[in-house]
Amino acid sequence: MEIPVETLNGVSVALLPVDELDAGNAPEFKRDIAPVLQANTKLVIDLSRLRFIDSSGLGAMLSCLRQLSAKSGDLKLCGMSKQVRAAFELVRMHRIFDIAGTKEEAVHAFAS
Amino acid sequence: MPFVLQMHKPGQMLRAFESRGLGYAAGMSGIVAVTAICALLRNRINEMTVALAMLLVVLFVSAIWGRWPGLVASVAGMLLLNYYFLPPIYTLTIEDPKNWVALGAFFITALTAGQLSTRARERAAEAEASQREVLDLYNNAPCGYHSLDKDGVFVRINDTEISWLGYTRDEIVGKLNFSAVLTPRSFETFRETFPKLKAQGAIRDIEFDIVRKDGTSLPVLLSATAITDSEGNYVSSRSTMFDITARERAENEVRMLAQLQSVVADLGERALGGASLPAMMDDAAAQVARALQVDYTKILECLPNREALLLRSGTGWKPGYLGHSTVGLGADSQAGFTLQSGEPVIVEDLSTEKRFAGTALLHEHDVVSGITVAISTAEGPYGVLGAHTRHRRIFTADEVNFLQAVANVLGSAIDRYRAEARLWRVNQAQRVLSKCNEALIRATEEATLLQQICDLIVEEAGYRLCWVGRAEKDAAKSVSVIAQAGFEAGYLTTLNITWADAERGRGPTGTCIRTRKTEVTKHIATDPQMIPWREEALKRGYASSISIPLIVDSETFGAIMIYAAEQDAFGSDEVALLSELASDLAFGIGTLRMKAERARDEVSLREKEEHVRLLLDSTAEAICGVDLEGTCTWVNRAAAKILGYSDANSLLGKNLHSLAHYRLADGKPLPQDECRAYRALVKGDYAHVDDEVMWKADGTFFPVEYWSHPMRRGGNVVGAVVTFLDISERKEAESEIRILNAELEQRVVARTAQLQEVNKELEQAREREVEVGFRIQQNLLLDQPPQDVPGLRVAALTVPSQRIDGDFYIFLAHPNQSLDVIVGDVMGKGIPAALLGAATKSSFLKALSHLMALSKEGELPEPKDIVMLAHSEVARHLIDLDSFVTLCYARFDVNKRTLEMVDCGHTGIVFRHGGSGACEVLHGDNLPLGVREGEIYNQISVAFEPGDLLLFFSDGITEARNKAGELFGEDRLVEFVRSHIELEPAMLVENIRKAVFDFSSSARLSDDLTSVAVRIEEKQEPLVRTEIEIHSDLKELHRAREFVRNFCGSLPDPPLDEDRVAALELAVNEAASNIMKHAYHGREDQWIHLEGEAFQDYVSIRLHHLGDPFDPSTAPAPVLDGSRESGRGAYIIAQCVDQVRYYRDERGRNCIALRKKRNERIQP
Repeated sequence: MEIPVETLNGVSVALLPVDELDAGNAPEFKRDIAPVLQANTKLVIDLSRLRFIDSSGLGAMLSCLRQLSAKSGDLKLCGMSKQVRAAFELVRMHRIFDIAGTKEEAVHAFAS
Repeated sequence: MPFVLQMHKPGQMLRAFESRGLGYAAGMSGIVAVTAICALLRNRINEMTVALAMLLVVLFVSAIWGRWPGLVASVAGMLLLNYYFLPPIYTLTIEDPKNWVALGAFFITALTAGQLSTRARERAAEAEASQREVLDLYNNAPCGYHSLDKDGVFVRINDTEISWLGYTRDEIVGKLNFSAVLTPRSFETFRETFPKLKAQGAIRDIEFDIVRKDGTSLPVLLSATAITDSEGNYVSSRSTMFDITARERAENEVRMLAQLQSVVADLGERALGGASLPAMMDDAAAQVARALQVDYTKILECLPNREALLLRSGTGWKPGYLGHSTVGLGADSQAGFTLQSGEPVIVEDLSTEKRFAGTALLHEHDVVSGITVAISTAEGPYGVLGAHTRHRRIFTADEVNFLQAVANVLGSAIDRYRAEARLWRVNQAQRVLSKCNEALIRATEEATLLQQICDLIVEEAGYRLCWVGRAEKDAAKSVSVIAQAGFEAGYLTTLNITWADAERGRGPTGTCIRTRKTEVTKHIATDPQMIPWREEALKRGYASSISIPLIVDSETFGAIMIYAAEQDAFGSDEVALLSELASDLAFGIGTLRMKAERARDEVSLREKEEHVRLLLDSTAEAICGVDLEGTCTWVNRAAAKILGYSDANSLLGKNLHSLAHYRLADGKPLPQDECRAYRALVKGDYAHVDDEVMWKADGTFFPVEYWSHPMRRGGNVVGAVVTFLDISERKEAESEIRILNAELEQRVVARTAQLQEVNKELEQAREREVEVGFRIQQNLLLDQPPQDVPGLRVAALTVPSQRIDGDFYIFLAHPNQSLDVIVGDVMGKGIPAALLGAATKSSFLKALSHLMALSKEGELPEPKDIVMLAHSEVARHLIDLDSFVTLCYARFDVNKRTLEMVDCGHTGIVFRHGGSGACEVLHGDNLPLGVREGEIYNQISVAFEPGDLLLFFSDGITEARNKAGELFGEDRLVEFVRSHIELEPAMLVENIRKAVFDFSSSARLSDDLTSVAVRIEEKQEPLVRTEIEIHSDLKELHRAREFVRNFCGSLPDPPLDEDRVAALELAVNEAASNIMKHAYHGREDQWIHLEGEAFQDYVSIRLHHLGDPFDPSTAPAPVLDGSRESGRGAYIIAQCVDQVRYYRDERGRNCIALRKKRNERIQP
């Protein structure tokens, strides 16, 4: 999948370009986000297109966070739908991720 | 036909409309044309001819375009006929009344003809439509239809069957012979049944295996009738075919389970029956090969030093491998991996296996797939049991469980053989040791003792050769043979052993003497230490040996050497025992030496005494003469000296007794008239005493031996000569020997105690063996109650007593909402009862599968037939073993609401009526199984209603006793069931257990306590039901989610709220993803069947699959701290829905059932 990355106030914002992230496409996402993770230490992943995420998708997100943390970087998520947010909360992952409402808020949070 | 009036689709309707317009136009133009032509020919034809020509046009138009264009053509024809041809011409008036009649006749004829031809056309259209319908029914029916000519060639076939066969219609009709699409076995069936069809006109329910074009096969059930000509000759057949794959699969499953069960039971019985271990292993390997239909089976044994696994037994391997081939124990081999992981290891394709490389043994035999399980014993892992195939194969969970069960039986059999062998060896060793100890105690001479020990070791302990070598203190430090027994044939003379650190001193014996340590040579044939002696040793059949040092008085005396005919005969037990024996022997040698020394001392004392006696005559030393009163009349110097007096004469005239013999050693006075010397003196007798003391002048005493000889003068006794000796030294020596002997005896006692200890351990080993057996039987005998029979709620509980019992139960859920419950109890206890239980159980499964194979689809064999067939198999067995089985076979048919029951002397069933709450106990009147061969079993039928409850129970419940000895009894049980109407089945059986324990006020039971409760539920029909199949491909997960969304969208009011839909969607997604990843191990070509059902209060989604079962209890607890990226699936499922159940459905598929409550209905 092609992951578009834009820069807002010096922070890279990657848009998750799918509606559903499940065991079927999570490996593909992990593969294609890898160069983005390598190129950035501060990253926002915009989930506003996402309507469904399963445990493999959550695992992929966790993998992104780990890779950035390993090089003292940080990851913020934004634009979660209610259902996606519910999946994060179900496995308590909302406590591990920084979650912002919009990508602007996320970028702002990096600045402050 | 260009214009077909089938008003099914809008396009056709339009066409019909257009064509009707065309009809009007054609009718009008036809009539006009006829009019024009006839007008031109007016002079040559009359008006009748014109009318006829017009009638033809009307007929034509009606026939093609229908009633209305025909009518319009008729009217137009009538008008034109009148206008142009009927006089007066060019008016619409008619003069001649004859012409009125003609015109009327024309009109009526045209109308009638038009109607008739229209009807004929419609009939034709109807007939065609119905023909199409029939053709559609024929072609697309859910079963196959075909007709065969007299040679068996297809003359007609429907599309369904064509799609089954995979050929095109052109390849089949008129060309393909039915016999060409059959497996060889089915071909035989066809050769028998086709002539029968031709002769008798019909055949029914014949099973065939069809081979598709792609080579796969399809089981079908075929029925056919013959089409004959008027003379009754066969023309062709009308055959129907039904796909019975699902039925075959279910049958195969039951049959396989039965077969696997019976293999395990058989092996268990063989193990009990005393088959030798190698025979047992060969048997197990062969049975596994047959049951699993694999190319290779293997039993690998860990070699003693745990360096490799030896191929002990197996099937299918090339010659030269069995008994010789070894595989590594490391995790790089499948077997090694199995032992290390302790879990069954399943390999689907060795060439892509990542966990280990696979051994040469497997590669050299082109092995592709396989399963291995560890064989465990009470002493740790014995080895590995494996099954392998040359072709790719997926092993089912049942097959893995079966292999593990066989490994468990083998493990417990090995434990038992080991315990027996140890018992035998210990008994043997005990006998040898006790005989050796006996020899030690009795021994008087060293050489004899050594010889006796050698003899005992060879004769009693069964070794080939035993010899004792003495380490000589000569310059060459030679070892000389001082005792030997057994077969040696000159071996010992060839030895030439030294205990010096030289070439011939570095063998086991020399090393043993030099280092004072036991040397064990496990394999004489390969041990480099044995090179100088190897050839001679092997010639004489010595395969292993042991040399044990003999240390006497802390000096190396030599060594004892024992040779066995078996390789590696000296295990740690033997070494320990023989070392003890050698140390006893060394101690015995020491004791003997001491005895010999003392004996020499004694001899010198005796010589001294003789000398004194001589002196009596000459120098008369240590002698007293006493008179009849005991007064000393003469004392020599030696006597005075012994008694501690300086002057012998000072003793004269004194009473010898009161002087030196007045007290005993313990200080008690000894009156003279009790003195044996004095009494002898009085009687004139001789006396010899050596157990008394004499007192010295200084008040000390010494042990004395004295002789008193009467002195006679002229025939009268006048006194006595008393000769005495200080025997302190001798007494000391004697007591030393006594102490030594006591010590020896103590050692014997200690040894005996040790032996008793060993025996006790053995007893414990037996207890453990019983434990192992108990566990296996638990697995074999008791099923889990099914959770998925709609309309029934089932719960079972078994509390095992201390010993294995023969209680068993079987649950068999059939399609069509019926459930068989079989509860049985074998007379007696222990492994035999458990095995009989297992055998009975397996014969029931066998009987069922056999009868199912014979029955028509959808018809279950009757319980009484199953019981009779199973009984015919076990009856003889039970009678021979003097045992019997009480049993109750009950079939619940939820649809018919009846219970069919065959009670064979069992405890009966408590039946609680849901409506009234009244209870009764149902009993049959049959004999137990195994009482009489050929017994006829009767079946009784009982109706039940929703809300009713039936309880099966074992006599362990009714025969539990309280402290006063009262029985719990049936009445108490019935009353309990009656008064606990509120309890769910699971709680009911649990509370019955509590009640029985409370009653007996004991935590232990003498009998198994078994109960099974079945409650009839109100059957709920789903409001909505929908299903879908998806591939086991992660890319298909979105289809599962769409299914959930669509299903939830189709619910009748009230709809499921969005949060619940999302949660259900996530749960189904996770369940499907788990199945794909774990149950199917990532295989993408398998299927998952999803079923959604909505009820009043909840919705349920079930995911059926044929992969490995997923047991949530084995899943690790989820880690929610973010440290792991996976492992949350099961947790998410459990959180998202209200109920998750993992079970096997009635078709043998594994199922994950999710249930979510529907929204509360808002009350108006």
